Amino acid sequence: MSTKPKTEADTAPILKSANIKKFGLFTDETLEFAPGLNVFIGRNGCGKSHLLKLLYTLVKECGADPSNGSVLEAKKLEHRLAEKLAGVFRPEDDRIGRLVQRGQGGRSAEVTATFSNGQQCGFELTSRNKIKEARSSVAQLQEAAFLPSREVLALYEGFVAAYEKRELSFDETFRDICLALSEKQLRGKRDVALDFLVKPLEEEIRGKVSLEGGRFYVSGADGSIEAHLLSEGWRKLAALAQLIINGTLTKNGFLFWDEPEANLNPKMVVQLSDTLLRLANQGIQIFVISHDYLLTTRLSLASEYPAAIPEDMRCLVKFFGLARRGSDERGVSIGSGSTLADLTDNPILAEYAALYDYEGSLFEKNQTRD
Amino acid sequence: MLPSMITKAVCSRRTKLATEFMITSLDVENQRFEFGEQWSVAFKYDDTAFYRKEANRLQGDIGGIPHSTKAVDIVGVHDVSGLLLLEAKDFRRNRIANKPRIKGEVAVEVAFKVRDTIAAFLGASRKPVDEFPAEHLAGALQRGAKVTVVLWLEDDSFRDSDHAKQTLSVLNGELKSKLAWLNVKTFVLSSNVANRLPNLKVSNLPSASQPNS
Repeated sequence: MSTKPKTEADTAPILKSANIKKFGLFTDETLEFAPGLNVFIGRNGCGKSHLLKLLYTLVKECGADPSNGSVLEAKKLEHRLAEKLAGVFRPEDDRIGRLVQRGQGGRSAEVTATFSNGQQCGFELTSRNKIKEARSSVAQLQEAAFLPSREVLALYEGFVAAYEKRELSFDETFRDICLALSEKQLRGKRDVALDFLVKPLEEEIRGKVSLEGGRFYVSGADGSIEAHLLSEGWRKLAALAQLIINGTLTKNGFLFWDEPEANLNPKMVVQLSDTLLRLANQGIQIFVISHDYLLTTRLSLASEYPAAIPEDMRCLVKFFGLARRGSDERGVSIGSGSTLADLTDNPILAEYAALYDYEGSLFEKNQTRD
Repeated sequence: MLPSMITKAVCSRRTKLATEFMITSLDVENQRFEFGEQWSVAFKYDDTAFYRKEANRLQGDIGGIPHSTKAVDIVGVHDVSGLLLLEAKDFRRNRIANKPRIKGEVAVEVAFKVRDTIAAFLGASRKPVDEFPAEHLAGALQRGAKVTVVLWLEDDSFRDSDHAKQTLSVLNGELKSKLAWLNVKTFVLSSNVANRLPNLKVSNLPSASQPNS
């Protein structure tokens, strides 16, 4: 047994569940999260990115004030939530009321998040762009990082300054992640836990990540190469390595990642899958959106065979399948389970089946035509 | 057209139906394969005397590892789709034991069987074999001629057809890759998905539903 004294990170709460009413496509959904890895799958346009951004907004803004540890008073929280929703979702003219589900009469959305220690936060969002009834009893939370599907290392240089001048049409998650990436790497000898998380990534990108003069570099046997000259896949893994090395991703912290597999070759996807499991094993709560068969299947297998995978990759995994309801009903339905097989609607699998049918039809034509 | 002697030999197991159509019925791995009139040839190759007594004499140990000559279950020739090499596997009720095979190994097994079967056709065409049309089959392998390899696979996990298609698709990718050198069309089928082979009816035999002894 470890006799190490408990730190703030050891006791910081993570997300346990969220209830979302009339927000975007979510009519009334309660999601119970895994403390480890949460994977959202579904066809385009069924609200996955909105869900990820909403959860990010909650954990980014609802934790107690880091300067004095006190919970946020309602007015301050309402202001912060309104600004964050406007920045993260970028509705037209900052009209956050557009996020409320469309319908007749006066409308409002309600969102409540419950954390692992039972503390809650929530708010009401009216179609008139107002945040009301904001409340939070949540203690200080660890850092939350949101990695967009587009890699950010190459656009890092000068991004934050340009963003603050409103010269860029990117959403605020890009600014936030650039700020997180700019954090200095932890000094001194890397501890063992950090090293085993970062080393496989460094082996994959063949070097160590560094930030010099506002630019990212990867330095290895081939010398120092600026991030712009690396493949997009490498830049994504390098960004993840930087977030680990600079301490952004710590125990009980949060990682949100929209389509991490984009621009990664299958070998890198395998590396990514193992890294996500290791990060979750280290206590980082992860939320990812994926359309990738290989990534989701590997995570599902890790969940199905926990005793057969390396101990440092064991964690609780939960899959959420989002699907649009029939045309006569509003919104989306959400199914969940610990493996892909538990989902009744799995669009990735359905596309595989459709591909098989397509090949079958071509094969059949070939059989019957001269 | 096939020489009449060969046709007769091949059709020896055919049954004449009231409709006057000739059906060749072959039972393999708890499945009944009924080849209709468009199939001029249909027989169980691994049951032939040529395979059992001639081709399969090529076996022995190399470095302590036993090697033998393999054979596909069924060989057919269709009027349009040409030569068919079909291997049937029934993993039902033995799912655990067959788990590694269904993840890809079975496709490799079939590819080796195909290799050995076409090599045997060439051998048979050079010998006085009359139980199947050896020369015709060897000729059906020439450039430009259609050749199809099918793995017909049954597994308990295929009850959900989307899951079945996922596995069948992966196995077909493997089979296609292993037989790329032969320039053939491959497909992996099962009773829970659409049958893509022309003029062929496939059904479960009663033995398919009997409990494992």
